Amino acid sequence: MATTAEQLALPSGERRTDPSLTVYGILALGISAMVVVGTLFGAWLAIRSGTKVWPPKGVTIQDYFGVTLSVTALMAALSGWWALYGVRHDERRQAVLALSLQIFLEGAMINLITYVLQTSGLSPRANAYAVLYYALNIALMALFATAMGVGAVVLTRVLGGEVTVLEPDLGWAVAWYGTVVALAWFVMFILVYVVQ
Amino acid sequence: MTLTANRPALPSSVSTPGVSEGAAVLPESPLTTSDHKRIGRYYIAAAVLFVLVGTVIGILLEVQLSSSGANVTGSQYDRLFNLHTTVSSLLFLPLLFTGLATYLVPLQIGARRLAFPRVQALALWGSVAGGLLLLASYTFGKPTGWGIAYPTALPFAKAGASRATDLWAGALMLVAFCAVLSAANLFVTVVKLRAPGMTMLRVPAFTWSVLAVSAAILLATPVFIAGLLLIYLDEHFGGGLFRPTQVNGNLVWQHLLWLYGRPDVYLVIVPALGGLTDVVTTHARRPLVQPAAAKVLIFAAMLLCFGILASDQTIEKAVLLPTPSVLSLLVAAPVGLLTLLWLGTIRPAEVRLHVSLLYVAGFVILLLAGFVNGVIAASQHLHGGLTGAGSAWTVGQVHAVLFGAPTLAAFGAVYHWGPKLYGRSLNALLGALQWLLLLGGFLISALASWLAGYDGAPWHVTTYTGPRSADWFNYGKLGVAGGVLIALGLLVFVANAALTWARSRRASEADRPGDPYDAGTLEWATSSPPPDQDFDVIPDVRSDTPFADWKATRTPAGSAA
Repeated sequence: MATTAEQLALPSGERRTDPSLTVYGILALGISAMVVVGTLFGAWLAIRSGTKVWPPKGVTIQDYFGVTLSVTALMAALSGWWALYGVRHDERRQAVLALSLQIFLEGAMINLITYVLQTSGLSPRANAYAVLYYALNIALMALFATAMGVGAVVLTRVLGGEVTVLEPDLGWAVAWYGTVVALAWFVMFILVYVVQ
Repeated sequence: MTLTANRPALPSSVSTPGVSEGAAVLPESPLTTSDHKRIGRYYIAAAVLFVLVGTVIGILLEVQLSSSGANVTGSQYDRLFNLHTTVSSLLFLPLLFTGLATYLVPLQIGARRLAFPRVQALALWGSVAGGLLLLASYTFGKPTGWGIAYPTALPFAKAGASRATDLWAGALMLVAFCAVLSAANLFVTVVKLRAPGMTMLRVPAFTWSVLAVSAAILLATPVFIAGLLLIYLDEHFGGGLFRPTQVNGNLVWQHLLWLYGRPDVYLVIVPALGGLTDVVTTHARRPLVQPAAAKVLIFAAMLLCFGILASDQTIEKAVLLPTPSVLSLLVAAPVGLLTLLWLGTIRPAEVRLHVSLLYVAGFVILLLAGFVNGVIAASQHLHGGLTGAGSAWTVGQVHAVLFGAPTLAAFGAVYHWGPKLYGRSLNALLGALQWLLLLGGFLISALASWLAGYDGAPWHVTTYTGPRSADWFNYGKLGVAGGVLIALGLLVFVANAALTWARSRRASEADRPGDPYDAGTLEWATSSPPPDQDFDVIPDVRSDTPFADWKATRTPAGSAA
């Protein structure tokens, strides 16, 4: 026979799942993602310090693309927080709209980064700069792709009524992860486009 | 007396926290299971299979170094060496401890599940797939060189399309990514799913060590992932990032690898310390002397593992220290102090003689052997001898201290928690035989390398040459004998686990006691093996031995009170 709560001398500690579980998970992975990007930044700076001509001849950094990407990343991150606002204020339409916008903008980031890579004239066969440039962009694209995935899952849950004002944890998760990914982009922007 | 007397179904009034309705949509198969206990067992099985492969490869390498007649070519030797190091270091102890943690952590903290059970299943099968791809890389194209064995040289001699390298880097990225997923999962599980009243200082030592090592993995492994991405791009496309002419290319490779590799090989000590602390406490039948200090020491060991990076003076732009080995030796401090706490806890008259204690002794013996050799090597070095990096001596140190000791600790933990893992205790006689084979194997294998090192033999060579090579070949033969003993020890474990599991499935409830050791922690408060939901009710924790508290209230005296 199973031991029941009544039979226990100690009171039962039964409780529902802490709603911040997903947020903690997302943040733990976000920290690791930042370490990946930070490591690539470190490699970039190390190689840069040992190379006389940096960026190599023929490489043109187009600020226009960098700024456009940064604005897009910022909008994607803010959309995540807007979605959370919608969830927390029981504004389901706003949450759906914000999440859709976030997914769209993160897709746009991947699209634009791909375009920038294609039109940069750089090949990872060319030199160390190109290898690092591609590695950074691939890492960032992977982050935005995972952010899209997180957004899609949360959007589905919002549509299914599983993310509500009483259970907003996935809303927090999507907002925080979008912010971490955008932060990773901004560090790359400063490194590649500003500091070079 | 357990919190699940006869493995009942979950009462309808008690919901399973966090398991959404959608979770039931997927059928329960090995690939999609959300049962942390099944996932944990699969992890352990995968780890043992991988180490068997790694051990066989290691024996082949020793055979190569035991005679002048080369059995494999230089490139084959390189590839085998690379596989031996990667499989043994990344696919055995990390997976084995992850398996134990996956199984035990929710039980120890009074949770019904992991934070993200399906993520853990994904991490498991991703690791297995990565391991198989890694092994498959042997059959493709050009050699991958020394790989991650030691980053003194660039990993790949020539840039260019090499499917073996692509596969090698891709497989390791997958394994590393899965390690991050698993670490994040375990970290969040410990932080967020502890039973009410279970403060961080009340969690069992093994769970505490899992928390510490998970934090370390979350910080160190991404560095490795980034390094592998660079290797993949550089090797696949030939951009020349790691070309010898590229200034700082070698530096980047060495530091990226070592930022991960140095802590990683030492970090397996951390869960070993936690697991053995629980083993000693349970079988000593006494609370650990200074349990808070034990937790501090375990955490300190984790932190000091990161400092080991600075002790390697052979890499480019190494951290300059007056005595480089100090940071390596510092790790020994918490390990030694924790061992003293174990000894202080044990009273010979009260101790329960359990086979897992043999493994604790083996762990200490191998660490002591390594420590003594370190001292001898240091004195040799002072007198102009060559026993440090670049010498065969280091291989012995790796086999004894970094691989052998934690391996014995891991199997000690498996024997201790065997009743939970397999339903009933593993055969103690076979356990003792396995201990003898493993300890003997590791000591002989290490001794062969130590002696070769003292005799001046180099490491990482395809074969020995020179006037003293005849002596070195003899050490190689000794190494083969050690490797064979280790392999036999592993096979004994496979047989023991399979027999126990088969017998457990036929055994009655009475033959599968939930609390065979009269222990105090929560994993023993449920049946063996635990039911799907782990616990019917989760107790309110008021000390670091909540199950002992609960049992005390069930005694006549307790009831009267």
